Amino acid sequence: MKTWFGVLLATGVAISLPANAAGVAPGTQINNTATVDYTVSGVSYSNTTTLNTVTVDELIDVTVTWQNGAPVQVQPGATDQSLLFRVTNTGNGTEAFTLAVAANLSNDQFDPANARIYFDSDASGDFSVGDVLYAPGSNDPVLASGASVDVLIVSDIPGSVVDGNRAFARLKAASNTFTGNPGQLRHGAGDGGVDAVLGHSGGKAADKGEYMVANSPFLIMQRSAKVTDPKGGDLPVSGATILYTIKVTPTGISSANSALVTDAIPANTTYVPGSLTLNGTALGDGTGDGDPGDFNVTTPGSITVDLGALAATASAQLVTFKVQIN
Amino acid sequence: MKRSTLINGLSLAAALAATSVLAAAPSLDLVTTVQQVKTTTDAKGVQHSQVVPMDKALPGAELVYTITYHNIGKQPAGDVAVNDPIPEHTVYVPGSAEGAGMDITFSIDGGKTWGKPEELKVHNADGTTSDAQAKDYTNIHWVLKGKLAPGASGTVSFHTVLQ
Repeated sequence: MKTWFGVLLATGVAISLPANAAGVAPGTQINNTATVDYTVSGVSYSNTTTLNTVTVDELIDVTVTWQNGAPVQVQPGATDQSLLFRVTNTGNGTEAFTLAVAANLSNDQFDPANARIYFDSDASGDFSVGDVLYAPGSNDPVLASGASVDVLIVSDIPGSVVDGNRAFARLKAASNTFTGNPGQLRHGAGDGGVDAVLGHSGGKAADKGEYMVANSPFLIMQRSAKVTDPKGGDLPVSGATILYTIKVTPTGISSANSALVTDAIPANTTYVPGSLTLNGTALGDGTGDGDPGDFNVTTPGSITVDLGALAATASAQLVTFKVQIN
Repeated sequence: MKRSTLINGLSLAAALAATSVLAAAPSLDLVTTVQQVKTTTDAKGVQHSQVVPMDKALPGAELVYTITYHNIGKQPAGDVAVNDPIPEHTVYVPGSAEGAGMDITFSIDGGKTWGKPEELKVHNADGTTSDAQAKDYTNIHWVLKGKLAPGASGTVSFHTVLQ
């Protein structure tokens, strides 16, 4: 078992080398030695022959795989949003690859702008300060057999996009030796001057990643009612009170800037003054009383509670109030 | 006592000329060749395999080694046994060793011990044993039943996959 170590080149390109290289190295000589033993008239003889040198050619193969696994969620106008890809040399030789990005793909709702390629130099999985910009021809990744390099498509999201919009971007890698049809051979083009042959990839590969706009948080609102009649039962008769409980649960990925709960007092009922609460704390019925709730001021005939900014990770908010059946 | 002659197919003439003292000695000539199995798929999707000459190969190639032995002496040869180590960087293709009139055995320890495939066991680190896998094979041994008459010849062969 060979032991491999990650190699950090001077350019800041982190390249990882897996334990299983893809085949015997180009230029390796495969020899066969056969021996025949025999006897003639009781005397033993032996004859050995070593022949059949087979020279291993270079197989040029590459894969590109998108690593995020799910669409990368972005917000309108966000800059430097990244998609992570892995380029792997699946051939048996050492190859340099030219990378390219295509951001104006079809079957999506917008095109990411200003798309660039960076090496994920710090192996963080997303764009960070210090990640090295890729420039074709100047820092093409050179990968040993079985080695891979993680790269990022980094782009800006237009401000005009809305929730649910999706955009594809494709990363392409092509062997600097040559590309073409699988099985195509180029004499002397391989490592050390052996022949080079294109594998199933044809010496080039691509994969596409996906951005998805997810701007608004989702607020789940549930309302329940509990009736208490004058005799202590739960019959909705005249004079009975109804306790309404409104539960607002934040979810999604971003914060709500301003969440306002408004609920109209049902017909044939009357609001019970002073019954409004938020998370167990009583709220005054007027405005300007220093609390975020009121009745019949902000919204006529309704209670209103301003929950303010609500992070996606905030706990559920509970609003209660009572009405009396006329 | 064992004597060794260095005669093979390619250098036969030179060897005979240079070693005239051995010219009358009995001898088995040995020639090995290597070819590659090429698989093509026709328009109907049917795969066809053929064996073609080669001197270059890619990882994954199936190599066919053929060894021809030829009694160029004037007396019959007995106890004829061909031994071929599996070439480095290749893995034996199970069931591929052939040789008419030959007993074929294999080694997984570089030729110290021999056995039929079902007899070959690998000793694991935990003390257990398990059936040898193709990658464990190190040598193939063919033993001819009976004698090889003067002028007679035969072939043995096996397949390996280039790693």
